[in-house]
Amino acid sequence: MVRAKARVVKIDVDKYLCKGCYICVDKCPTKVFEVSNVIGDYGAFLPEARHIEKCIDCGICELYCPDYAITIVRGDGE
Amino acid sequence: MNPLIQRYLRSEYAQGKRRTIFCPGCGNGIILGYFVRAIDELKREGKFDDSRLYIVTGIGCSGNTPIPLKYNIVRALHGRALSVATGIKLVRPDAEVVVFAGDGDLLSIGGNHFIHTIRRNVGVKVILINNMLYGMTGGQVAPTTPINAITHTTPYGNPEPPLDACKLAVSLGATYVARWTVALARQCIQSIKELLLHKGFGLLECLSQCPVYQGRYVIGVDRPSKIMDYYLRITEISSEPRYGEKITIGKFADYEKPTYEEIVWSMISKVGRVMHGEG
Repeated sequence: MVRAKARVVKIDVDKYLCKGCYICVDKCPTKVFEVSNVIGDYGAFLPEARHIEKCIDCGICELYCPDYAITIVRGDGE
Repeated sequence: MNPLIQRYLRSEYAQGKRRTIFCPGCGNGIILGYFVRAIDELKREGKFDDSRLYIVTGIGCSGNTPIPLKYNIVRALHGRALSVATGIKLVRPDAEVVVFAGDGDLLSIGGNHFIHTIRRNVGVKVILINNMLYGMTGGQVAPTTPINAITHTTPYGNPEPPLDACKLAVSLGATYVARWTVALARQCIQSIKELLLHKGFGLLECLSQCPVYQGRYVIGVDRPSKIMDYYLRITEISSEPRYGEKITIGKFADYEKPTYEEIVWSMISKVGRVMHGEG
């Protein structure tokens, strides 16, 4: 029996807190993040979770973020 | 803002109205995240009471690390963080005292206090953030800078061999010594948990990145993730501390012996009994 795992619906990047170090972009093992054209409040291009379907929910972006800007939003896979 | 971290931050930081003061990609913020997660895991397991937590910091970028936290924080003089922590621990032996210090703060200016705190085995927990130079003042050479590394004050290469904090601590008889890098998240969190539950003196050295000065001068890349990869390349797991071409990481010492505050307080009660009996 396969247990239903909570799926990642969204990875939220805080527009005010992100300083644009791009650790999440480089360190993601499945390359979910991409640098977008949106400029945040600090003056850097914000990373964006564009390929959310590739996410394996390892949580490395949340752990490595030095400014606590990233929140992984998990939902029950319906 | 991350809701897990948000519960441990104070007013403006928790409301998301103020950022940490570090440069983009600084390792101090990552280590503070690991510290908060370690406290959160210990509290959920019911092993740790954070109402008696005191944090003492030195001067430098690493001294700014615990500032967003909602705990009692003392900023000591340059290099004298361990002396202030010893005082707090002696007056309140049941308190948990954690020291955040950088490599220049703890090993160069506070080197004397470092040696004698380990010798006495005071029960303070030290998180040493090692970024291999003085980051706040512009990238000058520090005791932990590798040999031949280029910094602001050694433009033709560093002529001095580096100091290994873990080897020094092990040789002086520190009861918990470990070294990890910021790139190893689970190991760092596990080590901070062990450190907080430990009884005597504990030292965790965390190899951290300073993308602006260490990255550009010492290593040669300024992308924070590339510096984390570099740390994974130059480190290897071992049970013996070494700090040269290859830096060894792992847990180097973990045992228990009588602490300074226990000895002092048993002496105070003994002397008080004698005086009372005679008078």
